[in-house]
Amino acid sequence: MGLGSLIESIWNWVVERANLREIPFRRVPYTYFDLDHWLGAIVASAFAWLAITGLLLLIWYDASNPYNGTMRIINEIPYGKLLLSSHLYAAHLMILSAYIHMFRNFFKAAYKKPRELLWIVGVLTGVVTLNTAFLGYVLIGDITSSDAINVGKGVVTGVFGAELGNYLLALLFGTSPQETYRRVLAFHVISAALLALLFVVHLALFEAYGPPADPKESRWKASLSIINQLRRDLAPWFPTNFLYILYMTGVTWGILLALLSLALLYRDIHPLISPLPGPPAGVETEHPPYPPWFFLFFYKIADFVFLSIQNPIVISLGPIIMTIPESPILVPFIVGIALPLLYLITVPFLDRRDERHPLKRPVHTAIGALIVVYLIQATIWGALTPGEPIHLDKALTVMLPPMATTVLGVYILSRSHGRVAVSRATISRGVAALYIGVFLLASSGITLALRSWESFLLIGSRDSLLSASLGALGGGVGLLLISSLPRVGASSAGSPDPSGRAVEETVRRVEEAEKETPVWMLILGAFYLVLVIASIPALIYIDPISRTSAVSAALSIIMLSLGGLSHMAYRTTNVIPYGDTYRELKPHIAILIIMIIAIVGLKP
Amino acid sequence: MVWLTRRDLIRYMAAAGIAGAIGSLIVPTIRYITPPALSGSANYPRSLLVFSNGDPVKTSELPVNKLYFFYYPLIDTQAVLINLGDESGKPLEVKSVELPTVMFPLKDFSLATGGTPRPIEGPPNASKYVFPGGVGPYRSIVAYSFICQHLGCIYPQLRFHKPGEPTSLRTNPPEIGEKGGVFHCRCHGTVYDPYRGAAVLLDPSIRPLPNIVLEWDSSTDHLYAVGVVGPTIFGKICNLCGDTIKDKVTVYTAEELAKML
Repeated sequence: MGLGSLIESIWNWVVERANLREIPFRRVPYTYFDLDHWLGAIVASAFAWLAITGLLLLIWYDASNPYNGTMRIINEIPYGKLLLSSHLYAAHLMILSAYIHMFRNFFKAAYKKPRELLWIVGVLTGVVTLNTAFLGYVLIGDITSSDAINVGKGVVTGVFGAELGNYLLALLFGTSPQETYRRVLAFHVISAALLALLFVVHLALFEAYGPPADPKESRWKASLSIINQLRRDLAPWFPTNFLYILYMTGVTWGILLALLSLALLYRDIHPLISPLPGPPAGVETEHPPYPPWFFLFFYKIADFVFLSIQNPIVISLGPIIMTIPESPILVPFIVGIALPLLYLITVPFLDRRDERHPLKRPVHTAIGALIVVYLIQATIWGALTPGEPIHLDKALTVMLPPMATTVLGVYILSRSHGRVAVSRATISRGVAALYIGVFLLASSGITLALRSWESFLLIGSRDSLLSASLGALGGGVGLLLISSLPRVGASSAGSPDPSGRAVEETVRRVEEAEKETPVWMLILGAFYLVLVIASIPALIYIDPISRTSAVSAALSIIMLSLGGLSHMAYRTTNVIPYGDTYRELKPHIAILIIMIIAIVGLKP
Repeated sequence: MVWLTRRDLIRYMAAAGIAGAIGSLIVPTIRYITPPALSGSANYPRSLLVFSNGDPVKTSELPVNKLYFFYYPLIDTQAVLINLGDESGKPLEVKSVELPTVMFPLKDFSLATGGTPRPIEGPPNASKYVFPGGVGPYRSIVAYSFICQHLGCIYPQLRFHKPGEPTSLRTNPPEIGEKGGVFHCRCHGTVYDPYRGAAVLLDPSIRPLPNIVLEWDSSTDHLYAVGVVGPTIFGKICNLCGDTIKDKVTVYTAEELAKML
């Protein structure tokens, strides 16, 4: 008996004993393996990286001396700099990809019956993610961290009132400086554990009904969106899904480490995307008072002076008299965070119809687009003008054009659907015209109406220009969003035929997969394998403290190779023809491009 | 018949690549979690022994056969200082002797109680070191790492049984414990001879206690701890792997030690 057959028999034994071929997870058709259906895997991979690096960082974190302890991890512990900075970048990636994952499922209405609970748990997971991120960057003890503690105190007392707010703050930060970082560390880990728990619940709820069926199979109907598990063209979870997850994980980690490698090369990197801590608290510095980018939107909303309550407001409803205390932050919090969040949590109950097509539920599509635009605009605004107070006229100049564009655009598109065959070009032209009109009306009209000519020309010209540009940008984003919505028409006409000829063809192709393994795949696979083997000594012998960017690059190349090999292995189990070699090669081209970026980071 | 299909080759390559990628993380992870102190300091500190009131220890102030405790060379490695003598209280000269770091138990009486020295032997490949003997006017003062080399028991499990002191000390064979003058560990019964470099009298330990090298300044009568010879201190990768003691080290009596803990 040769070595090959020994390995094979051991492997078969493991597969059989672990019952891997019949893992009771939802199965999806062979055609579902693409980025659109796997955005959640990016979030999950980033979270996995965070969990691994976070647990390792616990070994060295020193709550009694947070800043110097952090600098020690960076400057003295082998691979400490890599772990700490990649922990931060993975958090950035997780938050960004979670937003993308959420809005994809919002616009495709994946929250509809029977997946309401899956959606709600998902939104809550996002909230806990941001909470964990807040507690995480506080731990560093640099100037951003100490600002965050102070701003956090202001927000909590401003929202919950002095009495309850200060009690909550004592719970969170303790009552003495020595206690603060120990508590924040504990709550960071607790919050991460809660995140892991919610993530497991989110996955379990996903398993309850699986992903929504493709529009062309379900005709955009929520009631038809469950994939029949008796269909013949379903891929086995193991190994197909498993290998695809490995591929997503490898590529996600590879991108993360390649970008980190570049970022570590540049000393003068902008503080918002710097992978390393800022200067310590209490030292005079030019460092701008930024929160991390994912809180910039709220930072800007908090600058909206017209939203601050200067004097207590007394509301009397018959016998009930309520007093809203003076607070600069309460209304911004409600408008900027609480209401959008409340909307996102309750949208499965606000939008209960069977229709999943974005243009057949125009109100929610418009609201979703406006939330996206608002997040982008306010984030950029916060980055450009940190801490500058914003008056009503400027806020309107920025907020109105995208609102008008989006609302009217979605309205017109949804009205025109079904009556006329609308081409994408028609839509774009129509919306562009609309946009120009609304933009001119809103930005110039409102700016000039509320401000005098003098102030526009003399004092506020730069600011007004900035506001107008941001308004235009928001309108552009809104336009881009709605013009990329799927057309109503062709896709709603097709009917699924799970027993038809197409399915038989799929099954035949998968069974004859061997013939579909081209020679280039073998060569590329050998190339990846060589890269992994060559990078291992590089990873071990490059000095991890002085040349972290090179180590990150080497690790990136290893992870990307892992991703590439996993994708090949996945293709041996799923050979739906892509049609041509270019499309077959696409994931590998992407991997090779990111590898080239990583190689830049390898430079001494 | 194809012995290896393209599909299987791809799968084997993927398995190797995935295993290699995961394996590549092992060395960095181990390097990351290894405490840097394990590389150790270069030199032993030269530490003046002082009493808990801050006064330097003078050999004339050390009563015979009384244990003093101190931490050397690291802040968590307990050691004892003792002015050895016979049962009448007369200091005894402790001679230099060569010891192997791994040794067979001697199974004879402590030198303090009239044992006839037997040849000290260890396995042929055991490295040897020279126990420098006692210091002070009578060459009677010695210091040892006081962590049993068997399984790490410390005072009060490891204690000094004075020569001639009536005792219920049970050793196997019993006569070795009877006359005293030994370090005895109550955990598993190891007996060391403090008069012969803490050589092993009775197993289960196979290593003598490491010796803290002392230096006596005859002009001031002060004592300094200057190094460690013998086997590596129990529980340490190396004798200097950790936080080392500075240039002063406090000695405590058993009572002071109890109050401190």
